[in-house]
Amino acid sequence: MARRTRTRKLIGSGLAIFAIFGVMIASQYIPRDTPLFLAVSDKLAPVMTILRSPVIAARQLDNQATKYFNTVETNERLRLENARLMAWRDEALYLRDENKHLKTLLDMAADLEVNPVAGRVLADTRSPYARSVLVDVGADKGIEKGQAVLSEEGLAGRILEVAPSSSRVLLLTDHNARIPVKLLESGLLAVVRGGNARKLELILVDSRVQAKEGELVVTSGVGGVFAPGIPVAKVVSTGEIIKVQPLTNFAKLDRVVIHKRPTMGIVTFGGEATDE
Amino acid sequence: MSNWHFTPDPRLPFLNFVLPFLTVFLLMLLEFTPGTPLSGIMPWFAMPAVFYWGLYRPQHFPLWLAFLMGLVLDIISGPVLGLYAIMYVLIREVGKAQRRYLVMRNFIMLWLTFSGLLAGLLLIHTFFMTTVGFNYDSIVPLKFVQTVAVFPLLYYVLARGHHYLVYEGWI
Repeated sequence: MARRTRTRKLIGSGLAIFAIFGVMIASQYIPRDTPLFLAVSDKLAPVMTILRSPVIAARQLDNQATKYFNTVETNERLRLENARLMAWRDEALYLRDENKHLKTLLDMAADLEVNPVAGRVLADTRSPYARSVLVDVGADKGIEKGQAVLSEEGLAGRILEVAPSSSRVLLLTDHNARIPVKLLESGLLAVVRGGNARKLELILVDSRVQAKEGELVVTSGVGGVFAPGIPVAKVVSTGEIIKVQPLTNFAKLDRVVIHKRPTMGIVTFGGEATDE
Repeated sequence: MSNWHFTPDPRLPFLNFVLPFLTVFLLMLLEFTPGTPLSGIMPWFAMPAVFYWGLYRPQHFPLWLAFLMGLVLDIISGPVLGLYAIMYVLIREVGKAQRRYLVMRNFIMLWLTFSGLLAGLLLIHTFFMTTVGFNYDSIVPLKFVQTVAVFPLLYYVLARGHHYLVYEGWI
C-alpha cells in the first residue's frame, strides 16, 4: 500500500514538472503584453511604491545633509556657472532664430513635437536574462509603446508594454535592444546593440571607417522611433568590436522623462514592422 | 480525558494562513527596490522564506500557492514563464519531504541543504535558458552567493518572529 502511494506520488510530481516545463516552452509564444500579465504588474504597483519609500526617504535625507554642508561652495560654483550659461543663452537664442530662418528658406519639414512626461521608477526588474524597469506612468498619461525614456544623463530605453497606470521600459542594455544612432563628431551612422552587459556594442553602417575613442553617440532619428540628437553613450574602446558606455547610470535610475511623440513604424516584439 | 495540559485557542488563528503568503510576497518584491547600489543584482530574498515555510508549515503554504507566487515573480521579471514557479515548487517540496530529517538537525545542516538545492535548481535553470537561446549570464552565480549569504539572517528573523507569535499565543 505504502509503495503504491509512493509510486503514485512519484508519477504525480514527474507529471507536474513536465507540465511546468510545458508552460515554460509555451510561454515563449505568448506575447508579453497580454492584459493578464499587464494587470499583474499594474496591481502590484502600489505595494512596490510602499516598499520603495524607505529608499527614497534615505536618499532625501542624504541629499539634505550634503546640501546643508556644501551650501557656500555650491553657491559660488552656481554663480560662475550662471554667468557662463547666460552667455550661452544669448548665443542659443541667436542660433535658434537663425536656424528657424534658414529652415524656412530651405522649406524643411518641421521636427515632430515632443511632449515630455515625468515619471519615477517603481521597480527595478533587471534579471539575469532581461533588463527592464517598471515606471509609474501608463496609458492614463498617454504613454504609448515605443516612446523614448530618458534619464538625467541621456537615453535609458524605450517603452515596451503599457498598462493603465504603469509601463515597462526596455533598457538599452537588454539583449533585444537595438537603437539607431550616429557618432556626433564624424556623423557616421550606426546601431547600438545591448547584450545584457554593462557596455553596449556599436555596429557601424559603413565598416570601412573607424570610430574615435571618447566620441559621443546620439540617436540618429532613423526609423522615426526616437527624436534625433538624444545623447546615448560614449565610445570607450575601438577595434574589431566597438564598445560604448551608456551615459545613464542604471543602478541609480530613479526619475525618468518619457518623450511623448507620435512614433512611426515601430518594430514590434516579434520583429515585424507595423505602421501605426 | 484529563484537561490539565490546557492550551488556549490562538488569538489570531487566521495569521497562520496569511503569514507565509505575506512574507514570501513582500520579500519577493523587495528584490525589485529601485535606486539602491545593489538594485538589479539583489539576492532572491523570497527563496529562503519558501524553504522555511515548506519545512515548518507546509500545510499553510500549499503547493499551489508556491506555484502562484513563482508565476507572479515570472510575470514581473522573467522573460520565461514558469521558471521561478518551478523553483518555488521544488524548494517547497524538498523542504516538506525532508522536514523529518531536517527539523531535528542543527542549522548548518539546513543551510547546506538549502544551498545544495538552490545550486541544483540553478543548474537546471541555466541549462534550460541556454537551450531556449538566452546568453549565459554571470549574474546567476552572484545571485546564488548572495542568496546563500542572506539565508541565515532571513532564517533567524523568520524563526524568531514565528516562535514569538506561537509562544505568545497569537497563532
